[in-house]
Amino acid sequence: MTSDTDRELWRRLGEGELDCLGRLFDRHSAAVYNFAFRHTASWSTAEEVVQSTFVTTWQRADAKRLPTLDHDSALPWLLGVALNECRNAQRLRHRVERRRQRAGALEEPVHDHGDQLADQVAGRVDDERRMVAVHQAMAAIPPHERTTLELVVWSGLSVADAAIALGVAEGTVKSRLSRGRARLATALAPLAEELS
Amino acid sequence: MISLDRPPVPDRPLPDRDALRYATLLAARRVARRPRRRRLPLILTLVAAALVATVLVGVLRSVGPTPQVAGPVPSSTPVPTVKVTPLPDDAVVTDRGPASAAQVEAATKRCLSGSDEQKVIRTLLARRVFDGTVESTAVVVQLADGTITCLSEGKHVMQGEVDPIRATTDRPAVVVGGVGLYWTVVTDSDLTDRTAAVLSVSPEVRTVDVVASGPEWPGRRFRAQAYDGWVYVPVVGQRSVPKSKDVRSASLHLVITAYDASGRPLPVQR
Repeated sequence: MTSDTDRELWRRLGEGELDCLGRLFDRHSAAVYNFAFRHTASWSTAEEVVQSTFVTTWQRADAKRLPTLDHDSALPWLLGVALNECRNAQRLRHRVERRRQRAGALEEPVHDHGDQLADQVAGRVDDERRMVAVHQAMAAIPPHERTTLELVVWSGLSVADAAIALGVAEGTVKSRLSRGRARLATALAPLAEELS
Repeated sequence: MISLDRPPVPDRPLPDRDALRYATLLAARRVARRPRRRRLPLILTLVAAALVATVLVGVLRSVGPTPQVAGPVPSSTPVPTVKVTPLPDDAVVTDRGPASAAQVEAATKRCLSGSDEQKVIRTLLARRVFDGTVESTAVVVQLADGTITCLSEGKHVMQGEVDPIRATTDRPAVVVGGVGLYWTVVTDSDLTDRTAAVLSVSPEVRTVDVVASGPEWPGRRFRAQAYDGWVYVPVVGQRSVPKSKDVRSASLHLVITAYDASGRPLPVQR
């Protein structure tokens, strides 16, 4: 059973087998988690995105709207869903932040890391700080190029898989990647020493 | 060192992955149990919305006031019911420019009797205006005894006096000589009373926005052009007339914004 391919799990998921969702979760949740973190610069938001990505996948399966998997891996499709969930989460976060500012809150929001050990917490806070700095440096890069870089360079998807995740042609991914890399080099140059 | 070929932050494992997995599957199970909403197809929704809109427009049109030729209603006129009819949405005041001498004469003849006509010593304002339902000639005249009177010739007849007591304004500096509130009555099946305003304004005023407020008056904004220090606003409010109430007893507050020739609002000076 454990040797089932993603395609087989995907097909059975479409038929309503919830266990298959659990097994896809085991395989791909870490990749979704790290992709979501690099997109949102928040580990806690990334956790929420992981959950909502798999729940959304199940909702589509339940509604018989799950697309046929053309490739062997379900990861590109899951990252495509995760991208949308990241956008939703960011919109929500901005709304909450605006409300907080309107309410006159003076303190920064407290990062809730539960009962993690202190060094883990420190490491995660450093990650977030570093990622926020990278996002700020990449602000000038158009969002679609940035997302392409995140999928291909940071999440290790192939051009073909990134095309599935983004719902665009492979040629489009290649051109975005090429332009994005050039802009990224310029954008990250000032950060090289600071974050090294 | 930041690299273009690897992520700026290394991968981390999901903290407490089993708990998140359990929570995710639990949430998915709940979603599956929820009965699915059946949605109307888009085309059906659009057709239904169009039908509702058509019916609504028809109803609104049917309840709009129908101006008729009539004179002021005596306060003793029995009124069976009191019903407020809102101004139609197209009740836009449009200034049609100065009225001709013939139009002024027609308005005067229609609104004043022969002997009263002789008392007109000068015309202060003569404009053709359109208030969305009727087009009329507004004539503000000064009579021999010094009274300022507003006459209007059109489908509805109005006649009255400038009365600085019944209305107040927040622009005492630009509205000189008091606010002239003029009343007009349009009799239709609902016995709806409309009120116009005649304002005497300072010379630099070119345009005036007027909003009437008061319990009986809908707060709608109307714009009118000033002409030689006078402004005529055909409709600032509309109300039903209760049986026991003298239609002249209208009381309202006019919020007036005056603009100069360049369109700048004139500051409030008290």
